[in-house]
Amino acid sequence: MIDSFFFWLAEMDANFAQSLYLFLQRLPGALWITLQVTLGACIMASLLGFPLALAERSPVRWVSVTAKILVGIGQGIPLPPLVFLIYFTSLSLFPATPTQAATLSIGIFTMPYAAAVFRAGLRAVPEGQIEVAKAMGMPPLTLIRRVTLPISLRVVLPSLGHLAVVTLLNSSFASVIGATDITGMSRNIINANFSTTLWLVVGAVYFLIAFPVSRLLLRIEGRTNR
Amino acid sequence: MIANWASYAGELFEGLKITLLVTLVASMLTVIWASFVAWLRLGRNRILRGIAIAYIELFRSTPIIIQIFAIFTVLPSIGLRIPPFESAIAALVLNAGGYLTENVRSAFRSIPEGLTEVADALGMSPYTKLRRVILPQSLKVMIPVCANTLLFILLTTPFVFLVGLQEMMMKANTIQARTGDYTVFFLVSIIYVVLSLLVHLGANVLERRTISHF
Repeated sequence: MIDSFFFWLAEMDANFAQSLYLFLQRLPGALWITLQVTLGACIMASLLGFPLALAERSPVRWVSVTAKILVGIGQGIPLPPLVFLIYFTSLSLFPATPTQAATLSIGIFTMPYAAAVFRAGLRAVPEGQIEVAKAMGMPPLTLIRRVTLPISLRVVLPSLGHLAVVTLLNSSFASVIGATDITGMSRNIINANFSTTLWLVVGAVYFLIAFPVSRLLLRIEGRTNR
Repeated sequence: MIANWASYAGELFEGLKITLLVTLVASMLTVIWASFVAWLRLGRNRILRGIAIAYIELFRSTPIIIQIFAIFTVLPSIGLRIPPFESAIAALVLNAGGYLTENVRSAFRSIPEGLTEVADALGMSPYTKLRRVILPQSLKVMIPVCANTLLFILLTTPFVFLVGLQEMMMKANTIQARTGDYTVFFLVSIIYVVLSLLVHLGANVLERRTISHF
């Protein structure tokens, strides 16, 4: 075992230096694709999740029940089949690139979790504030814009940040349908050069983005239990 | 669509069996592993606590795909040859452990210590105390932990098709590649939704039963 470790080290050197060079060369472009997928998916999940959270609290029963069922179903679907389903479906409708299909599917995957974040945010708005706004004769859309959103955003933003970190990690699945994000680009290099050690470097890149961001978010939230 | 689905049913069912087997084995190991890490995390030894924290942060801050590839390709290159089933289980347990240790930690903290003292003060025999106080309390916190673990693992099993394990997602890929019918992924999604619904219902029933039973 020790012998094979040194053998591996010696063998690795030859390919590893070259693949690391290629990796660093292609990293900026790949990082850009990863960020595109992550941010695109987060924005989409928020745009779809917010109305869903509002619908869950709707006084109209069938609206709230439908929204709850949608969220429940969404939280029961794993990422891989959803990505493949949406990738092939979108291919049959328009010439979708893997990056677009990945953004779309990861956005839809994240939607129910975003809805849960917004639900918690909406719950943080005191009933009294809404009553007052209603009594003043505020139209419903203005009420959401002037009262509900500003108050709930304070609760929602850190949780959305955590969700964005999870989405960053999920975005690596885009590589499986052929996107050249960080994971996809590295996989191509590793397959061409047989330099599996590069996976550890790839992991380190994700860690260097995800870990500081989640630490920062914890600090913003003022959680000091760690 | 439905007619096509019927013709794949047998093949998908073969995959489903492996998915369920992997889910059950990995969940049981995860509960044990997460409890162990939580114990290290709560312990007095600073080095062990540091190792536990490093492990949790490392596995929470890297994508599961990278973890799977790292376990599947880096280990063999240093001479550790692990078959797909075992490496899939290892990847799932290590990944879930990072997320669920906190879960286990807070569950164990929620057991009130005063209750056992009350039981002693009431003069309960050790057996009665175990049956009436300790078991119900720990079961009450362990059922949600186990249900969470099952759900978490269930929803991460489709990732392990990346190591070539013939579970449901891999079967769906094979079917899609052979027939070009991508609605099979819709069917797989429905099956996962039904499975996670069953875990939810099962946990609810168990929780009600255990609380009324003692």
